[in-house]
Amino acid sequence: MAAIVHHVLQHGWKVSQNVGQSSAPTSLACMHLMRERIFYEVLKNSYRYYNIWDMLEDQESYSLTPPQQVLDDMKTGPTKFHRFREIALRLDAHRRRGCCSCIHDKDGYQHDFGETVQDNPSRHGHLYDIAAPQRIQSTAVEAIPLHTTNYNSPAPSVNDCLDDFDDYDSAPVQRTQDIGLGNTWSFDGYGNFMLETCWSTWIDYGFRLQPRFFSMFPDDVPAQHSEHLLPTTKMEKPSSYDTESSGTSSSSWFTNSTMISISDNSIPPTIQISTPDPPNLVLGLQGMLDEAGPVANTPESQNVFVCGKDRTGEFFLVDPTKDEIKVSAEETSISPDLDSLIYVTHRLKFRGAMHLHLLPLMGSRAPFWKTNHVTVKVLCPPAEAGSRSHRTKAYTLNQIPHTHFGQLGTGAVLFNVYVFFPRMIQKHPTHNYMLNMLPLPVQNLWLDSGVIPATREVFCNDFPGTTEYVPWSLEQLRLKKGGDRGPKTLVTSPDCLLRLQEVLRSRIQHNPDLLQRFGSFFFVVDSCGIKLLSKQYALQTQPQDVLQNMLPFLDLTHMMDRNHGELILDLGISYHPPMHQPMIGLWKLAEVCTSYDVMGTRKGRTHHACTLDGYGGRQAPMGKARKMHTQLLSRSTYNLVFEVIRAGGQVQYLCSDADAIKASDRYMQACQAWKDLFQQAACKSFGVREEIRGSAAAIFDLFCIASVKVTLMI
Amino acid sequence: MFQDFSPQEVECLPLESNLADPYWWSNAYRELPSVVPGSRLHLAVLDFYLTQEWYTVAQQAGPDKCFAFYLNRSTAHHILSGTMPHTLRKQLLLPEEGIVQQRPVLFIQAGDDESPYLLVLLDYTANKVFLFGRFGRNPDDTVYTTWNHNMLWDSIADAFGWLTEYKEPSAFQLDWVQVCK
Repeated sequence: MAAIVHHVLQHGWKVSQNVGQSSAPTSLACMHLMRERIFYEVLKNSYRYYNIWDMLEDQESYSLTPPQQVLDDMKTGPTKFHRFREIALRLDAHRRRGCCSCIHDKDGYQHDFGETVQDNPSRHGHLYDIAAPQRIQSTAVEAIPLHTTNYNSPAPSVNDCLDDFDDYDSAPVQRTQDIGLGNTWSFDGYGNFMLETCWSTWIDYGFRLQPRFFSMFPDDVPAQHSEHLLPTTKMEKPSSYDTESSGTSSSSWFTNSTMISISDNSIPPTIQISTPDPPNLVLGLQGMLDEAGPVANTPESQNVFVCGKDRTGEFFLVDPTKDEIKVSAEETSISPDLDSLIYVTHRLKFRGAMHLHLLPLMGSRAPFWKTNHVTVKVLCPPAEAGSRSHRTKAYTLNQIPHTHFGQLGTGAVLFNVYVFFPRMIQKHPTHNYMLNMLPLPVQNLWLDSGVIPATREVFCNDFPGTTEYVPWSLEQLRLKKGGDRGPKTLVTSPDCLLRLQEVLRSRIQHNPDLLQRFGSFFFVVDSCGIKLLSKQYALQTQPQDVLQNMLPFLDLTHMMDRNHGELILDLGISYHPPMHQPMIGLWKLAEVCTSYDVMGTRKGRTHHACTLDGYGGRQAPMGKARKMHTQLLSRSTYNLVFEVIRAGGQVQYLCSDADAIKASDRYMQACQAWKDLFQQAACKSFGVREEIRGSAAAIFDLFCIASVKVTLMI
Repeated sequence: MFQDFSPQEVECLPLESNLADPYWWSNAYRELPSVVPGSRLHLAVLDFYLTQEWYTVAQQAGPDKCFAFYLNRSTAHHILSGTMPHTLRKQLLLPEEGIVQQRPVLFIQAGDDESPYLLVLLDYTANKVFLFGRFGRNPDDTVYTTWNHNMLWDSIADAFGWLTEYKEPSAFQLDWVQVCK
């Protein structure tokens, strides 16, 4: 109706002269847009005319006096009220869901990674292609050949898609991601923001889940995983890490007789490059300290450590093996442990209480800000209205928007529970990286219209006598706490948590205008600080039982069932030197890389210890086919001396680049702190470490053989 | 339905003082939650919105250059009841003298808050009355004839100085499928 008036006011009205034949406008603004327009215009103008009325001297001349509640609202400013923000969000979401004419651009939004398309789509299944070309190994060593028994077994989620597991019919069609998509009214015309701009992009893009979206491996038992546990072989060619260290020897604190020292190899003369003559002077690490002298900050010491020159001004070579200390296998202690636990599931089930987060997650970075090699398969949006998508795409957890949900455990041993929202998977509109940190307004909506009301409903209906202790809104919580400072949690029993999940899903389904973007949510449980605890348990025998005993609040039997979720574990193996003499273990990168190549990993990343070219660590994921076969995901190798300065979860060490460039006080203080730490660590010993990530089945198997295999190796 | 409304007995009725009447903005504000999807948009909201829209267009283009005139509910009511406190020309920001070109006249017609309301378009050029609303499948012009008896048609024509045809205008209902829940 309003659209007709609009049209007539803008374009006039023409009617056919034939009796009874009228020409109504051929196109009108859609009702969704009109409602939004009416809402914002009335809100704005009612406030505007209130202000005019308020300034009038003859207010009594009007027959009507505004109700006190309206006056109070106007004095506060109506756009500040949560109820109007909620209306604005509903209108925005309703238009996006229900009106194709409002969404002007229907071009497909094509993600460019990991997408596979089913050749012959079936309504009941979403196939994906697991066959990937084998990466050609660039090194001379051969990777362990894979047996063919279950080499090509598909992951189990391929044909098990139920008819309407995840409300597929509600998925909007694939669309182009654009900041201005859908013309969201974000401000009220006075420059006051009514809806944040994030609401234009943090919407339901149509991604949906399969019933076993979390399955990363076939249901078969893992194969050849024990062979892939830290394999070694003789090198047939030198690696690229030899170049600088050529002519020197390895300096690992233990000597493995099966490994060939770098000094035993020579650079193949394939490329003739004119290089200056190598320096004559070769110094060990202690030799460098001696050359620098006992006083810090002298020109001599700077010459040694910054320029790599001796006191005569000549360059010298560094050979850490000059300080090598031989350690026998008997003196080396090996300590396996459970480094971490990651569990992906659609439904949480624990044996202990979980603390439910009720305030948004603050910070500039998402909890899963980098890949942990755990992926889930997500159904792509349907290509056209009325169809269902049959394309799946694998996303790593750090590519999916998420926030915190709960926490289990106490003290240093914590299990954080995160909730993921695959429907809002998106890239940054200009910088093209995946957005994974939910903006604060979106988190507020999730908590205020999802979690908190659902929690109240569960407590009120199922747990009498609890109502007074359950908050009724986010605003109430903030008023009580004075903002978002500090965490605010509500303890939930296992039964309460199960019920809460049901109610949450139900509320989302019945309130699509506000909450549809949060549908398809799933959970990830991530451990923190269990390494040290696990070292105190004998995980080598019956690891599952021992782990259950160690973490009684988990339901490992439930978690091991692959119909419920995917349980990923990290096996850690530390090699520790004897404690009576301070020493530092350094991995020889050449041998490490050989072992990685034998294992058949991808390239991954190499991390050098300080500026030493031949020493450091490496991280790499397994190749796709090998991952499916062995159920091992990734491996990382590093030196435990890193623990001297390591701060869990920290990305930036020392200080920011800007502080370093300015040589600010913060930079100087950080440098001094590191100096103190290193000086204190000089009398300590540090070993080296390996970590293998894989399915729970594979890692439990490896726990049983890890110590024996590693002991035999050294 | 307009019994509670007492328009201001003012000589001049500028736009601001007209819409500054709390009857308009306060009622529209209170009924604003009716814009949520699935709800029936409250008449107070719709009428306030359309009145404001017309005034905006009229101020931008000039009231005599508008493609149409929109009469708010109270104006239509007072024309019918003969209680207009001022001339229709003043109400529509038009000069008291001179010729006003024939243009469609729009207003919302409603019986009570529960019944569906209609948009009425008086087309003097074509000598037709168009009713937009939710009528169902059977065309029925009784809605128009029962409330109008052409009094409004004639009064508006008189106010603007428009000559009307001897033949009474034909009434047409234009329906559309409601997509709202």
